Amino acid sequence: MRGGVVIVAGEQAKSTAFELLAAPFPPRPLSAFTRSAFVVGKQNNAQPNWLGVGLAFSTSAALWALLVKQHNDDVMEYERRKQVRGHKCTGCS
Amino acid sequence: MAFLPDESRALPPPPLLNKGSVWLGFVGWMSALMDNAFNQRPIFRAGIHRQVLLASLGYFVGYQLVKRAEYVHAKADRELFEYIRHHPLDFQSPTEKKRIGQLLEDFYPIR
Repeated sequence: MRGGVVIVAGEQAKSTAFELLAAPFPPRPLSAFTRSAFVVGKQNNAQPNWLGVGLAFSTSAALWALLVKQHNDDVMEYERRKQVRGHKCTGCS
Repeated sequence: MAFLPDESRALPPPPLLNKGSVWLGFVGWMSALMDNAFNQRPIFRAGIHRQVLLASLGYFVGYQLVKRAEYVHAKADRELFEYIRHHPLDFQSPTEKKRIGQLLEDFYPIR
């Protein structure tokens, strides 16, 4: 993607050359959001981006592993603290 | 302020299958499907890796949020019961509780 300021049709059409040159680099992403063909290439959905696919699946697997591990840790910590508190009554669980 | 203070670990953790996780996982999946729709791809069959990733992310975030919500509710309950304990005079019932039999008229069957 080229650097520099992107002109959104209409809104910044009246900006002077000085303002164009004086804009900070890199362009602020949200104020210059555009899907213009000058800055975005054509997607090729026919060929999978295998790196992206691999990263997505491995991140998902890591997230699930982290979730299950954290849940088991939470359960163990809760049981441990319950023991430490010395639950005395026998009416409830 | 910590998202999950240490004392929150003394609470029973939410089950792995819980409403917040399921809902946010569903939201993540929907956003992947919407991304497919906006980019004119087949909605369900495209970007399975994206659907799985966003659903898993939503599920994980949902679990953390449910833990935080349960902590906030438990803290409020603790403060409420402490207040009640410290102000017993404000929370006494004036007399004994009336039984329903005393409120109703006597029953005389008409045969």
